[in-house]
Amino acid sequence: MIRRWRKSLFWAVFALGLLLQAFGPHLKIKDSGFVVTTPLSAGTEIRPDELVAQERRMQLLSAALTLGGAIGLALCYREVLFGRRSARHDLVGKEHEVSNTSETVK
Amino acid sequence: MTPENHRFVRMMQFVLAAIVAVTTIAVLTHATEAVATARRMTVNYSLGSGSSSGNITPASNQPVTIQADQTGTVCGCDDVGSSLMTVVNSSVDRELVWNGFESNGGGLTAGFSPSPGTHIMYIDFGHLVDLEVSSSTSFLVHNGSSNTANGTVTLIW
Repeated sequence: MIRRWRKSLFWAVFALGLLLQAFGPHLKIKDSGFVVTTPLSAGTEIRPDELVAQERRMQLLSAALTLGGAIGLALCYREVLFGRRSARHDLVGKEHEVSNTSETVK
Repeated sequence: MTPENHRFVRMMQFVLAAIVAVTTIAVLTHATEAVATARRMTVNYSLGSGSSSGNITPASNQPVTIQADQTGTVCGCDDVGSSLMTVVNSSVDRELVWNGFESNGGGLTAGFSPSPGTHIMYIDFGHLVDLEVSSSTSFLVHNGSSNTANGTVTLIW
């Protein structure tokens, strides 16, 4: 139950990161600078420093959520993804345990 | 579950893991690019005769370099010019303070004003298109020529 809840949480965090990426300001980057492609029409106002700061904040948050979610998912599904290796590791561990206990018996 | 089904499910799990990994790398790359990009923004303008652009508000209380140019890349009618200045959006003085060069060898331009319509600098060849104060914290591009004016204003802070 806790495992399932944890998996859902990490999927949600990962999806939130992607959503932030999708709905961010999306400033175009060209020649190492940000570009507003639509001509600035009368009556509008643009604050370049705030736009860039917002874009950076959104990108950083999105990256942190996506990376956190992905790492969490990798940990949750490690048995599925690295099943064989984990199984072998468990087996080796059990062998050691067995030998240890037999030595103690002796 | 048959071995075939098991194999298929396992393959799909790896495909899903690969999609998650690739998406994560793409997001990280995009974020790195956004953070590493210089604090520089280029705004395009396309103005009919006698019209003005929207307001551009530079970052407050720090010098902002402005490069404003008619580029001549949109149509042959553009009167190509080039100009450069620094402006401070001063919250202490409650006005814009600027210093720079007019286009086409027009000499120095320097001043300070919160009054809308105050000339800051010409940015075209014929001195008909200029940057003007639009409020105590922002400026705009005004086209005083009889043609359409196209160009860019770049702010670096």
